[in-house]
Amino acid sequence: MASAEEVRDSLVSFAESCNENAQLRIMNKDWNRTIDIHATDHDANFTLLSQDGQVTVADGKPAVADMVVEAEAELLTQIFYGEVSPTEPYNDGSLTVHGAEQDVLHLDFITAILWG
Amino acid sequence: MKQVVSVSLGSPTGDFEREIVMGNETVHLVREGVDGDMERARARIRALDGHVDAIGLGGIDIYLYVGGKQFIIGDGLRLAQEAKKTPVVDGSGLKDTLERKAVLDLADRGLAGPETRVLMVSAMDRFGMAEAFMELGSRCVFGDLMFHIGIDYPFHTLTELDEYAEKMRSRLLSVPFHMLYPTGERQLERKPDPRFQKYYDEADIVAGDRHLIHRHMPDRLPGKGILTTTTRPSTLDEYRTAGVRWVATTTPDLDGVSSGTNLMEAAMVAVLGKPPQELTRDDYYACLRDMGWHGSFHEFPKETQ
Repeated sequence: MASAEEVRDSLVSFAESCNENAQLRIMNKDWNRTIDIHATDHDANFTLLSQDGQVTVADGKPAVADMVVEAEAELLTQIFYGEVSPTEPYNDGSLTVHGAEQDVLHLDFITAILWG
Repeated sequence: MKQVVSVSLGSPTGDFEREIVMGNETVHLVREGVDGDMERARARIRALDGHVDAIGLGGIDIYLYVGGKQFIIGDGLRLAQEAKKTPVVDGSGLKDTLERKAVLDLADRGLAGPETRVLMVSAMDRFGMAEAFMELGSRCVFGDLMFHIGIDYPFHTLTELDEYAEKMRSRLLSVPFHMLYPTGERQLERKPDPRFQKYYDEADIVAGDRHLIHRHMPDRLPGKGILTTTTRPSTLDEYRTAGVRWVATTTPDLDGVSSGTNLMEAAMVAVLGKPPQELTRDDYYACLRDMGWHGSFHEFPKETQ
C-alpha cells in the first residue's frame, strides 16, 4: 500500500513530465484547471493545478476544484507514474473522477500522450 | 428483395426508408436512430440478427484505419458482436474508396488541388480522405484533437495523425464512445467555440463528419465548400443560410438524403453476398463503378453567399 507521501511524489513526477513535454505545454495552454486529488485510504488531499501550460502540485485540498480524482493511494501512485492506464480503473469504478466530461477526457488524454 | 438496416447511435430525427436498385437486386434500406442509447442499439441488433441481409452501424465506428494500421473502437466492436448470423459493417471499407474518389471528383471540378486550404474536422475516421487531400498537395488542418477532445492543437501532417492514433490505441478500445463523439440529441447541439473559428475562417473547404462540422460551426461560412455525408434537406438549408458556396456529399443522393457509408456498405455486402472481411478495395471500386454510385453536389446561388 502506497503512502500519502508516495502519492505526492507521483504527482510531482507527473507534473514534471507534463512541463518537460513541449507538445503538452501547448495543448494545456488554455486548460486552466484546479484538480483535487484524494487518496481515500489515507484521506489525504493534494492540489494539481494546470495554469497557462504549467502543472504544479500543492499539499491539501483546494478551496474550489474543477475536478475531483479519487482512488486508493496505491492506484493513484500507479496512475501518476504511468504504470497503469486510468481508463480501466475508471471503467471498473476503482477510480472516480468528478468533473466536466471534457475535462475528464483531457486529463486522460495527457496520460495517453505521456505514456500511450 | 434484400433487407438492410442501419442501426445508428444518432437521433431518430434522421431516420428514413428507401428502395434502391443495385444490378438485378432491389434493396430496401432503413436507417433507425436509437438516440445514443447503447442498450437499445444492442437490443435492436440482436432482434435484426438473422432476419435481414446486412446491418450497418451508424454514429460509431468499429475500426479506424490510420497509416495502414487498424485501430479498434471498443464500443463499436462490442455492438457488432451482438449479431451472430448477419454481417455487421461500419462503412470503413467503403469510406476508404468512396471518400478518396469524392476528393478526386472535387479536383476534377477544379474545387480542390494544391494550395487548397482544407479543415478536416476529424481525419482518423477518414484517413482515405485525408490522404487524398494531402496527395493533391492541399494544405490541411486535421482537427481531431479540437473536435473530439476540445484541445486547440491542429495537426498538419499524416505522420502526426499516425503518432496520435498510436498514443490513443488503448483509449479507443476502452473509453466510452459517447465521450469521444456526440451521440443522440447531442448531435444536434451547436456550440461554436471561439478558439476554433479561425480554422473555419481560414479554410476553403470544410470536410468530414457532418455532426462535428455542425458542433462548432460559426454562423457564417461565406464562399466555403463543404464535403460531408449524411445530409438531409435541413442540413443543406443550414449551410445555405451560412453562406456556403457548395456542398458535396460522399454518398449518393437518395431522394433528398445522403446516407451514412455504413448503410451503403451494408447494401453492397447484402448484394455481393461476400463476408465483409473478404471485400477488398478493388471490390468496392468495382461495385461503385457497376452501380454508378457517386456523391451529390449542390451549388448555391451567389446571392446567398
